[in-house]
Amino acid sequence: MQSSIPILESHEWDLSAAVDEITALFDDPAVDAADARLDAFDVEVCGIEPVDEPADDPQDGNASPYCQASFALNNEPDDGIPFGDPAGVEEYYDDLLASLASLHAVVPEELKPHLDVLGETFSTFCVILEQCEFDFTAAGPDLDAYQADVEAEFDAAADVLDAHDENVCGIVF
Amino acid sequence: MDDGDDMDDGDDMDAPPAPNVNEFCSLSEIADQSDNEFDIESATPAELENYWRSQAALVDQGTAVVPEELRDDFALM
Repeated sequence: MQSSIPILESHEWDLSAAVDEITALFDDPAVDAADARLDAFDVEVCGIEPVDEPADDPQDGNASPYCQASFALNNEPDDGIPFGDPAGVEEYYDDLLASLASLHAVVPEELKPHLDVLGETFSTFCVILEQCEFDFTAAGPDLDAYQADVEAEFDAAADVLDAHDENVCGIVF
Repeated sequence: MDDGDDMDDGDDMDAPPAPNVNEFCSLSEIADQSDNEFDIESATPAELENYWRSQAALVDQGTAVVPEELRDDFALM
């Protein structure tokens, strides 16, 4: 937060002018992992309920089945991963994989490889978690190692899908 | 009714959170609430500066009370 202040000051607090530099500042897997651990602490220790802001509705230009499905998926009620509840963790990932399978049924051909990356990543997450009986703490080291291996590919695929959502579907997150 | 046996050794009692954890959680809740309420897309530069500096001040306060196990993670944010 503090490190981004000089960037914003240099752009006279015009976020649109500073957004690329600020995004680059936080575009780091270590930051993502730290953020996830802080969020988990908020939920598990502080009892703070996570809040998901709804995405904007697809605009009139594209109401394809994929756009509609993507919009619906992004607006499903989501209380986040219940880290301390193995049964809840299993249910969370089962639901996520089911949603991705539904999305896969209507995804445009050019996006399939990218959606497959997400599906394979979460499927492997499930395998690792299952080996630890969905205990996030026990699975942590293996999840971290796997995440480090696939993070770049996953982020690239997610970026393509997000760009399609925004530019083609008109979904603004 | 509890006969009090377990209360002697505290086996069935949760230890109260350390004071700094309570303070850290309070700050985190304030920061989350501000974040949820702030519409960054429509903010003017002045509103953005006010919001950003307020959040940065909360981070400063949080740094003083962050639990040890989160210290490295918090420093990255």
